[in-house]
Amino acid sequence: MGRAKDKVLKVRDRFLAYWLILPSLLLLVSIILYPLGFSLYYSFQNWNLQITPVPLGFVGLANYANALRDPTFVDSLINTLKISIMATAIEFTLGLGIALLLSLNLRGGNVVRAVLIMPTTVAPIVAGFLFRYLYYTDGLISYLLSSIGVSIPKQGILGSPLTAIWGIIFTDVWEWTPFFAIILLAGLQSISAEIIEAARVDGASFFRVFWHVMLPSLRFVASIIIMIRFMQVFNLFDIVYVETMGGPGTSTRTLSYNLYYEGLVNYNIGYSTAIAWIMIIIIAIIINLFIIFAFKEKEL
Amino acid sequence: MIKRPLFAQILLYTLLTMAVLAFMIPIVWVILLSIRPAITNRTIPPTLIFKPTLKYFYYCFVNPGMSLNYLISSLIIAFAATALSLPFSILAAYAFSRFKFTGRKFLMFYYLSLFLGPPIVFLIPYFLIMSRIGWVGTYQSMIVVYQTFTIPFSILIIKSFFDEVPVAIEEAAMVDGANRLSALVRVIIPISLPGIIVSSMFAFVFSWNNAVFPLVLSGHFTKPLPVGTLNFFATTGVMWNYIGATSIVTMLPPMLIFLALGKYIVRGLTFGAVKG
Amino acid sequence: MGKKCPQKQGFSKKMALMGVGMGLGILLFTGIAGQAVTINVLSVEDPFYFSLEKALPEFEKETGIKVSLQPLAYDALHAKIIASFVGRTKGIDVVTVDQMWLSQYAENRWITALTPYIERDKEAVRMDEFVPETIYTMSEWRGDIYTLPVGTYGQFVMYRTDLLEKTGLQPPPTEPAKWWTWDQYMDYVRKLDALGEEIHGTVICGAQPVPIVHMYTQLAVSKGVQWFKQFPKAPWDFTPTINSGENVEALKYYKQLYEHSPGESINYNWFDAGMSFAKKDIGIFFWWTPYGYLVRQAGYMVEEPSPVVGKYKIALLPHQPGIPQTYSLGGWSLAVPTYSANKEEAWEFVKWATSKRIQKAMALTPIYQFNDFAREPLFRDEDCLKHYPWLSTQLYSLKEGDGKITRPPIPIYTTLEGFYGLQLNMAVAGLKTPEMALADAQSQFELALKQNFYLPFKMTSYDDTLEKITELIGKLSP
Repeated sequence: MGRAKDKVLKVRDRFLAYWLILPSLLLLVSIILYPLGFSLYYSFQNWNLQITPVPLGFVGLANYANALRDPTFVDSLINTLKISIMATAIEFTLGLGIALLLSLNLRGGNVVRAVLIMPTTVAPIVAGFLFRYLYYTDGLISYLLSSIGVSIPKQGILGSPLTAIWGIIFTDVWEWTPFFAIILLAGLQSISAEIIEAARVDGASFFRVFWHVMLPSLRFVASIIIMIRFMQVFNLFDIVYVETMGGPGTSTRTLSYNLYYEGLVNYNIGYSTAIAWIMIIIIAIIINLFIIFAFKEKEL
Repeated sequence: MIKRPLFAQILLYTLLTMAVLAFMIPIVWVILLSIRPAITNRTIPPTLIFKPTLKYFYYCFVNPGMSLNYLISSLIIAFAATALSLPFSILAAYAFSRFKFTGRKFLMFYYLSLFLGPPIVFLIPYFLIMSRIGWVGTYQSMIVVYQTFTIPFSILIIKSFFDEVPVAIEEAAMVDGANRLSALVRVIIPISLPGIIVSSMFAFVFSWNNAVFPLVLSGHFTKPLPVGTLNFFATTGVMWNYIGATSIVTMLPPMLIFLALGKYIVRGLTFGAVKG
Repeated sequence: MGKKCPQKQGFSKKMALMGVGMGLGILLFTGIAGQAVTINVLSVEDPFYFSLEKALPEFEKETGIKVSLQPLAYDALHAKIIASFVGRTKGIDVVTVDQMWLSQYAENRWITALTPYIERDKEAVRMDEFVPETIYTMSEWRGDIYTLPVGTYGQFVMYRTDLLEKTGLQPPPTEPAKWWTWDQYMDYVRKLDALGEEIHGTVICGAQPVPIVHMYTQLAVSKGVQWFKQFPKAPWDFTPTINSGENVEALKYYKQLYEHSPGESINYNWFDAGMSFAKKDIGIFFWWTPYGYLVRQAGYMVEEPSPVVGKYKIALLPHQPGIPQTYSLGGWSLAVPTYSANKEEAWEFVKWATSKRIQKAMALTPIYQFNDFAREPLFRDEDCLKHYPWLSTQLYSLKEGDGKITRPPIPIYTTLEGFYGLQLNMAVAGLKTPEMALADAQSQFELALKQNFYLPFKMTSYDDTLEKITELIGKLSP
């Protein structure tokens, strides 16, 4: 199939391309660039809605400096990195394991695959509700854990600063491991059976086949979903809002929750827009790092 | 079929069952929550045998039926947000698919990164802007704001479907005298219709599941399900059974849609990058 | 020829249209003119909301004004109110204001000063009936009255009579008594806690960021803690004094209370804490006065009685020797937003809902879940005493109440409260020592106050005293 983009076009057609994009671009510019510009402008102002209905004056980079010096902001950055890395790593590993399991064509595998997608379809906030209920000291998860000998802190899983963050991570893991499983499974199934046969015939053990044949073929798919998922967990808000509201203390306060709190609870517009832009810069850096390291050979 | 030793078989099936149980139990548990008498909600050990009741569904959806309002709002917002995104996305997807032009890579990257950006970053300016124009609490505020993800997403997915339609088909249509635009409408779209439907279904699910924007922008009468359910978390006592009943209804459409989507799930979840 | 002249046809068409237009116009006009005004009231779902809702039909019948009463949870209410002010929404006519939010709304001129309205209708409003401390705390800012109280809370002690009997201790007093100190209280808590495995000496409210501050600040103010160097007496000096020695002592005390509380209480919000007294075995605790009646029911606004009915009594808060007692005064009052298009109708509602007659009716509505009066005569009313026999104790906590130093209502109160609650929670949870937590709170306070030009304070102060408000009330009384 000849790919359209390889064709040479008439001048008229090239302009047509721009015209086709224009509507969506205009809409997106107005609903994205305008608010972003708006928030950039106010990030340099002193404006706290709790004190004054209008901004009080230009303060340069003071809001940014305050954010970087604020221990709560730094805590939220660390928490967010912790949660993102742990959750993505756990989800990828478990997902890969399940994908391998399913690729073995066990009986009932198709049913399992259909059913396994369910957690991912649940809205994150609903997953938050579910797990808040399950994490009570008299809830199902606490019961199951204590019956296999794990001790539950007396404030409950979500009440202890040591375990609350794991509660959040686990909710996300429950919801999104199937995502990894299903996609990695598709990736595994697309590896031609002959290559595997050939390797097997050459006497390679399952582990070697896995490491040297399967993983490299999965590289592109894995990179994409790891990047997508990492960014999604990085922006985690819904689950935190419902399960712990950033507590206890600041142990589960993520960047997004912190931003919400400063902007829409404390109404400190100047300060929160500065935080928002710091977040944008951090995310842009991370995405670029991903692209450089994972996608240098591939074309998007 | 590889012949496996019995031990391996048992191990593998056990692992599979454990995996299924781990993912299914919370869902089964919330189904039970929506029909169990309130006294059995939080017992140690958990109560598995009880007399089921539909009164919580009745309270939520019939009388006084607050959740019915949320349901209607969810439907309105999700349908409208999806519908609104279609004309914009289809046109843009066609251009990305068929033309190689300067800034193409950059724009694609821009759309993808919009999708990966934190919604909260937009929320504060949106709140202020919507307040100023008096749109806080209206459906249109959410429908418009949802375009920040429905459009980029739809562009990426629909583009991947357009890519699969051979250029020869358009060229045949254009030879017959049609210009590019009518080739698009009369030929490409009908062929890619399944793809467009798939994209819409995903956009619908993402709109349906969104809780962040409505948290701030919705009003008393325009709250969709995810945010409406928060009302049951009164500081004076969490009403878990109502939360369970409403959550079941909130979970149902996305689940059914995903079950129907079948082989397109992979493509949808990876935003068109990976074809299942 | 049957064909009409085209011009004539056009003319009769035009006449017909005009006729229809006029008819519709008249219909529309009379429709609009004849339509009753509907006012929108945003309220929190505290107990007063429920009994007020039941009394609404009477208001609509008497005045012809329709009321759309919208309940919201605490955070959602504050957010929605601010959103409506920022957006200058016309559609909101009455809002319930928590004691600490008053100054924020008043300084921003988001709510209308009610002083002229009260002046005009003084016979109906009867300002002289209000306990002056309640108006001082909840309704007045910079010499003007902005709200009228609809649900006023003090704080008192509640204890289990059956459990106390087992310890042989003397019942806590219902009138001020020298022997009833905070040290005595801790002794009571310890002895009650020792009664059994399932019995807890007390329960605290530990959830951050807001609930813990509401319980803690009562303890703190009673032990002499001040937030700022000087407020609300002029000249205002907002240098924070939150890391004072008194506060460190108070926080250590609160931590000790937590040790005798259920473990989950570190996450308890207002209602969790209060209702655990009704559901579990808690020996003694102190909390907002509505819990005096709330613990009688098995759940919020639920008819079924709780297991502790008849087994508990109410007493006064203990005091710190050498420090004049102050009670935390809080609760809700009604205000009229500046952007409301129906201010007169809104004022009618405010007058009605805060009147002696309606407040009494609310108290006597089954299932008897309201006694949050601010008008003194109601505390002595026989019908009310029948259902809420502890009203005289409650009156004490109002008469010595001062919300302005317990939780100073400055415009950035909610921001400071957020920091404070976070640090308190971390200290009680054992994540930080009390000294560290309060030192961090102090530096966060300083930063926030500086960033918002409260430190140093260069704007005009207002010498806010009880004497001044009593004078004002005198002027506004019949």
